[in-house]
Parts: sequence; structure tokens; C-alpha cells
Amino acid sequence: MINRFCMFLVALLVALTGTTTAHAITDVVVDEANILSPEQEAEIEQYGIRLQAATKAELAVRTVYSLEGEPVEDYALRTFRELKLGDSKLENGALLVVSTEKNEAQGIERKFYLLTGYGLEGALPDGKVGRFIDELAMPYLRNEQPDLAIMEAYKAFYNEIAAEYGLDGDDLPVTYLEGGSDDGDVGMPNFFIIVIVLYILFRIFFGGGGRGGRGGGPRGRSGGGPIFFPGGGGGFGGGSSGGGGFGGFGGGGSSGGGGAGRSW
Amino acid sequence: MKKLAGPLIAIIVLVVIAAIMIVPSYNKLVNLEEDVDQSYAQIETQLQRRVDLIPNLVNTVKGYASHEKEVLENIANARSKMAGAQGPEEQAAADSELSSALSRLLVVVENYPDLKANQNFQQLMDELAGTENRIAVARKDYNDVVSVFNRTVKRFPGKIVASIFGFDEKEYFKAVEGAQQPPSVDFGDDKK
Repeated sequence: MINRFCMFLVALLVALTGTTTAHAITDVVVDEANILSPEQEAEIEQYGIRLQAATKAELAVRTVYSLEGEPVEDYALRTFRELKLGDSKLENGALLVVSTEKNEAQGIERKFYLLTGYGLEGALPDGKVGRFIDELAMPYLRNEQPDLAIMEAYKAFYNEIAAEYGLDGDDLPVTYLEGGSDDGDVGMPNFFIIVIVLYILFRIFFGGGGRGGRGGGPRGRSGGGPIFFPGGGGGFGGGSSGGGGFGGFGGGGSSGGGGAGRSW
Repeated sequence: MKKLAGPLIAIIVLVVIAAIMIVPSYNKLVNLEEDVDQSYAQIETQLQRRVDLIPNLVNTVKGYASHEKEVLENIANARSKMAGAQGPEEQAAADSELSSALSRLLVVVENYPDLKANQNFQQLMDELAGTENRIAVARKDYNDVVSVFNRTVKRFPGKIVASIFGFDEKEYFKAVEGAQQPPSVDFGDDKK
């Protein structure tokens, strides 16, 4: 009798954990607007998984054709909270939303907007996000190359988050569109690396103390704990899975509406 | 002794029933009140953050458009009102005033391309836009929690418990008409 009860408990537990994992499956990229090539999607996916395995931070991308009249900030926040991006304790999710509908008569503009979770407001303050979008993404967007804008912006955000968690030497090379000469191509990323190194040094010497007060709050937390990655962090391949593979985003984080964006 | 047992048991049963009804309800109200306070703290944090950003912004604008005195004074006045405001109603009003003062600044800024291109200014405007969005989000979260709290206080059995322990309805954080949408900040299109 007691044995049966124990078995029932175990079965119940398995069923419960089963549903939690099922709930959490979320892709790094969902490209509804068909901006990205399959290769680019795979590349972002790989970065996203790598970043999450190392830092638990979840940097996701959603592209849509139309926001259907909803302000991009609201759309992003709603999606962010539905997906519960980021770890439930660290709240370190971020969501890049790109929309492609444009209608000047109705005042509809294409949007390129990053929403940051509470935990990433220090690594990606609004001003910095805006500057990255201006310097990295806008030149491509004006050139009608939104795919490259997403790629380069994603890598820049990735680098900032990696630097925040002290992942040295994991910087992704970022290519600036302007200054097409060799000089510019080499010079700018170097400058970028110097900035990141300075930033890391600054953080080391002047201690944690992130910016942006977080008053704490019970909002949007799910009971779902962190997701485990039996094969995670294994590097680039993805072919040889250690059994589990990528469990998906959605660790239970929330956002208070930080971030910045542009129309294009 | 036996005569007393009956009423005594009845009283105990009544007390137990009352406790069963009151304790969870009381705990729920305490938790909800805590949620309300936390959400409110979040609004205040963001309002304060906005207040803190303004002096920097005003200084940057002064460097390029020092003769736009009226606009800058309006912002400074709205800022000091904001800093002194107490309670949801006053704060919401001061917040709206600050929003409209800032949106007037945005109109003026159109005449100063150098200022618009200034990196520091752009960064401040991004921070400000982000903070405005945070305030909007915090306000909505707060109002949602207040609505749950108020409904609990007004309904049975929360109503009885609330009146015993003195839980009052909470005030909503209402944005003044016309200030709901933060002024949109957009400098991306014509730069460079």
C-alpha cells in the first residue's frame, strides 16, 4: 500500500516536471516577418544557447510583419512576460522586436526595439542600447538590410551581456557598415573591444553596484524553476546532443519596460 | 460541569470556524497590501529616476539652445513639483506636467540639428524614453495589484476582515488625460 502511494507520488512528480519543461520550450528566434536566412537564424540560435548556458541570460529575437496598432513597447513587454525570458532570480532576459510594416499615410513605422529585463538594465542601459542601434543597426536598416542589422545588433548585445558576467574572450566580432575601407573595418571593432575591456576593468575596480534601482516585485514570476541543459554549453556543433539539448527559453524572468528602439 | 460542556464546545467550534474564515483572508490581505506597496515603490523609483535625469538634460540643452528659457524653466518647475509630490494623486499630476513640459522641449529641439546629433543628448533622451516606458509599466502593474486588493477588501469575507483590521481601499495611480502616451522620441531617421 505504502509502496503504491510512493509510486503514485513519483509518477505525479514526473508528470509535474514534465509539464514544466513542456511549458518552457521557446525558440531563440521566431522570424515571422521572414527577414533572416536559415543560416542567420541558426547562427543567432547558437549564440543564444551559448549565452544562456554560460550566464542564464536569455536574449531572444521576434520579427513580425505588423504590430496591429499596438505600440512596440507594449507588444514587446507582453511577449516578454508571456515567454518569461531570463532566469527567474536573475531576471536577465532581453527581447529584440523588429516589425516591417510601413504605411506613412497611417503613421505606421517599421520598428527596431530592444526590451531589457530587470537584471540586464545594468549591462544594457537604455542609452547604450539606443547608441548601439544608431551606430550598428541603423546604417544597415537604411540600406534595407534588416537581416544584417539584427545580426550585428544581436552580437553587440551578446557582447555586453557576456562582459557583464565576466566571460572574457567570448566577444563576437561586430561589423560596422560605414567606413567600408580596411582601416575602418579593423579600427572600429578594436575600439569596441577596448571599450568592453575598459568596461570590465571598471566593473572589477568599482565593484558591482549596478544602476537602475529595482524595487522588487512579485510580478509575473512563474513557479517554474531554471531549465537544465544536459548537453548545454558544449560549443558550436549542436549535432552531438548529450541527451537533452536545448530546452528552450523561458526561465521565469520579467521586465519593467527598460530598453530603447528606433523607427526605420 | 456537564452543563457547561455543551455551550463551551459550541463556543470553541464557533471560534475555530471564525479563525478558519478570518486567518486566510487576513493573510491574503496582508500579502496583497505588500504587493501594492512594492508596486508603488517601483513607480516611485522610476519617477525619481526621471527627476534625476532632468538636470543633465537641461544642461545639455542649455549648451545648444540657451535662449529657450521658457521651455527650460517649465521643465525645472515641473521637476521640482515632482520632487515634492506626495501620494499617488499628486505624483500622477506632477508626472503629467513633467511629461507635457518635456514634449514641448522635443518640439523645440527640432530647430537645433546640432543638439539632436549630440551623442550625450541622444543617450539622455533614450534613458528618458526608457524611464517613461518603465513608469507606464509600473503604473499599470500597480493599478492591477490595487484592483485585486480593492476587490478583496470590498468582497466577503475580506470586507469583514478588512473592517476589523483596518485595511482601506487603495488609491489608483491615474494618469491625467492626454498624458497617457509618453512623447515618442525618435531621432533615428535623419541622422547622418
